[in-house]
Amino acid sequence: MMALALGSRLATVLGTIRPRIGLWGALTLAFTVGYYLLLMASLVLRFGTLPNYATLYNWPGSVWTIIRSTPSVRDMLPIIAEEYLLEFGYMNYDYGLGISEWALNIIPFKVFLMLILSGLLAANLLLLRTKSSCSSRARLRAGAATGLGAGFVAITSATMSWVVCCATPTWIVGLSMLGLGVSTAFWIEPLGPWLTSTGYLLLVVSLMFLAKPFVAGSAPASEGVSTPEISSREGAHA
Amino acid sequence: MKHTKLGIGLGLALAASLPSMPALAKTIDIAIGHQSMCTDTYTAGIVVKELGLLEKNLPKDGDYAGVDYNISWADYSSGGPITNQMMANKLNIGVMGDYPLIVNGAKFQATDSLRTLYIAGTGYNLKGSGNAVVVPVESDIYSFDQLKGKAVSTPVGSAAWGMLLKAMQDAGITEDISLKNQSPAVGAANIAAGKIDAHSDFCPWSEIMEFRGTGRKIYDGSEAGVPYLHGVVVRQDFAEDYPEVVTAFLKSVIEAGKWIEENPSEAVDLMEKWTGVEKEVLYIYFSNGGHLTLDPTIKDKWVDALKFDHTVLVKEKAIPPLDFDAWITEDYIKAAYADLGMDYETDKTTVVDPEVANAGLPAEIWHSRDGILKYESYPEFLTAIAEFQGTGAKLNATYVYDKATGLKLFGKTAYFVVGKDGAYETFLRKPDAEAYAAEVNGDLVDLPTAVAAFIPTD
Repeated sequence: MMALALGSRLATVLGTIRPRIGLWGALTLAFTVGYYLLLMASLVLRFGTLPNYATLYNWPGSVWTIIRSTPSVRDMLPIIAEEYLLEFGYMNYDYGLGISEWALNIIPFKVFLMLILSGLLAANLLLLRTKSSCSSRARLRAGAATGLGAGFVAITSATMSWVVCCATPTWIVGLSMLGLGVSTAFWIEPLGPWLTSTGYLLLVVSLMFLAKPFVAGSAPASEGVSTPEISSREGAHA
Repeated sequence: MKHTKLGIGLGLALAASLPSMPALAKTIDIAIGHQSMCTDTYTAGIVVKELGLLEKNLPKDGDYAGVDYNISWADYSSGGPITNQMMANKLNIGVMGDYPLIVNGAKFQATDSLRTLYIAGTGYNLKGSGNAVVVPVESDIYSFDQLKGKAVSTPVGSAAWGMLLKAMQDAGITEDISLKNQSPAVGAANIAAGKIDAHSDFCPWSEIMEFRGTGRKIYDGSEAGVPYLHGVVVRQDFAEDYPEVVTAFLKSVIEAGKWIEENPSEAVDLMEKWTGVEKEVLYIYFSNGGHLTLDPTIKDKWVDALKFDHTVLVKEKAIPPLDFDAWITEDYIKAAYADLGMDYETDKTTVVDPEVANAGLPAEIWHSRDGILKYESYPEFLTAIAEFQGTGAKLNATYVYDKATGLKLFGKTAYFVVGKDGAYETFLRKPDAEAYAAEVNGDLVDLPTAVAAFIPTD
């Protein structure tokens, strides 16, 4: 029964996206690009300097090197996940030959995660938009869950580096930039993967919630027999 | 269609592997991560690179006959990224300070299949000098306990951060200091602008601030009493595949140290060109009586210090455990010593304490035209400065020694105490100078005042 219900909701989601696949794709791409532009803007605003260097890395070559030289697959994956493709940053030339003070790192694995987040977010928005018959409370709840989930993933996917944090890109750099204490930031750093997972879970749950026929306010029919076509007819998922 | 996909896949794999595919003759890639803004790493970094010492020492016969070496150097501003690049096998060898070294070893040991080895030191200061706490030059703070209730910045995770934590614990003001996370460059800029009460940093940042006249040391790492050292780590798989190459690298480290010891003036002059760090600052580290003892041996005391550092990192950053016995090996450095016909055990048992070693060393003036001039007594030193000033001669820097610790100091930042008998002593910290002045019933003066007493009057 549960599998049937989930399958039905998934069909609803796909049924909502399919006719608007262009819009969904554009939103997904826009959210991802917007996210990185926002990170760059926050760095520029926080430090008051524009980026003055950019470096392109041989990402496929690096990944190949890691694969060849790391015997354990369990070790290999997290190392690959940290590999850069692009780096934009600010080099301070006041001392020595220059020190990269801050940088925005484009890490393909993180970009992939952001694309998933953006895709889910876009799907949730499309569903929310079509849920005009839902009670505002239900829409609010779903919107809040979506926002919270997106927030968790967005914060923990930040790939900014700041030389103070020993110059490695970590999500707590964003928190440190906002003024979070050093000890607190390091204390919560290991929570990153949990927060990311929670974020995705919230996004998926809200997506499934939005895909439910007759959400709050409507008299729910038997979930097991509801179909996207029926839901669409009711105006919930059109 | 299927074949097209296969072709594209193979093409991509080939393209990705092209940079690292062996040519007909065997090529060994040697990638080294170093730090041109961290003086204590120079003997395994910039000096080896610029003097071409590794190329000279690499094995060229036996199993290595006909081998081509592809040596690459990557410069970083801290040890953390070097560790990350070593994890990805884009660097085989890394040079870094004590705290990042421990993070390196622990991070690798936390993996299933990868390890690094700590194979040699580069240099040390027995008491911990090199790290320091600096305040803006106009600040009214003169001792560490005056930082209670103040904001202090430091690059978190660095050796200077570890020293700061220890100093806070020793002073019993752990909860009373607002700790900020700031890079060396930002910290130095904030000290210059007076935007932060104090900044704790590693070598040579505090001396850069002192030399540029923006900062003043109030706490030296030697007060924490924990040795400050840097060292070399290598990926274990690389060391096992090419042990002779690792030994050749360490021979280069030893030779780099000898070159600096034999030609400190020339060395700092060149190192300024290579790193951008002022030669007058580098001289404080690399001259006779300088902060840094260039010694690649692994002493038991260093292992104890690293173990202490690890406890700090576990508590503050929850880093993984580190099996020191598996991580540290003297095999390669002993082999390098043997190849060079040097006695490892003698160097290993020799420990330089600046307080003892620097006692009685002459004060120095760096004359822009005549180079380093040495003076056996402070009256001679002060007379010389007065005379040079009288002729308008340009002096790059002056150097004296802290009576309390034996540390080499810039004359312009030292506190001079002149006793009733006309004898001079110099100090790093004002409280030490005041205590000594009270003890000998003397006067505490700065360099210009001390020099003024020697200006000829006619």
